[in-house]
Amino acid sequence: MGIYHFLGLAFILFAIGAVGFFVRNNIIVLLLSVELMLNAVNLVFVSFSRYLHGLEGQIFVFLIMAVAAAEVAVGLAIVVSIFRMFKTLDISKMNLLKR
Amino acid sequence: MIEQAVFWILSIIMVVSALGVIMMKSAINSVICLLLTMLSLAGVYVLQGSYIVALFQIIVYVGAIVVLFLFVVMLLNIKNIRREVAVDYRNFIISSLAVLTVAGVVCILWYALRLSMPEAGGDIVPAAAGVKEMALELLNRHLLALELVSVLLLAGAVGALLIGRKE
Repeated sequence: MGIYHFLGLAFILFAIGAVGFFVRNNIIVLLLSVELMLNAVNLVFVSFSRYLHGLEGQIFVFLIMAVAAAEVAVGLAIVVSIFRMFKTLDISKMNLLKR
Repeated sequence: MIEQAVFWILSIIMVVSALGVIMMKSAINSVICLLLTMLSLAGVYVLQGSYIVALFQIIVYVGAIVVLFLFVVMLLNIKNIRREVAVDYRNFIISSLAVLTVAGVVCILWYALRLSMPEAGGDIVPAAAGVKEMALELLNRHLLALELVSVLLLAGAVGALLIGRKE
């Protein structure tokens, strides 16, 4: 197994996450797409860490996981607060700054 | 040989379930598809020989993040919300433009990577990096980053409590 297999898989995963972020309008699915992109980045880090025989990539993956956990906690709190305020999860209905 | 078969099976599961994350209509099916993606990604990490990352992938993502998403999806009562279409067809042109842009950026990235790494072909050898090496590396050279991340987690927890509480 070369490194290109894993890198191609990570690119496809990142592209799927980015497309989901641009296309969908459910706010929970947007957060899930962000998680997909973070996981693609994690896969690239681990692949290069294995390829270059270093450990820094895996250390960075731990830090990214911690940051992702904090991001999900705050993001879901914001989602609950937004749902209380707007009674919907559709981000095209949230135009508080536009009007 | 068997490694290649396992890799292709895992990657097909991962891509299909990642497509399911962004194409499912209801949010709870998306979360279940994300669970499947995380599990197959942990399998890919095991295949690469980075067992500790796979372990923490399962503990952190499957055990904490996906469960948190499930809690929130079940907490919000989405039954009485209009079941919107999976893809926003109103902005179909903008959406397809976004898809084309992402595909183009990924192709350019792939081409740049092929150009900048001419000595391709080195296999990823499954040499084990144990807990001891990881812990020494994390607690010696990256101690400051570890402490900063712990402070960030504390701030995130406090911020989530502050934002999510009822007035």
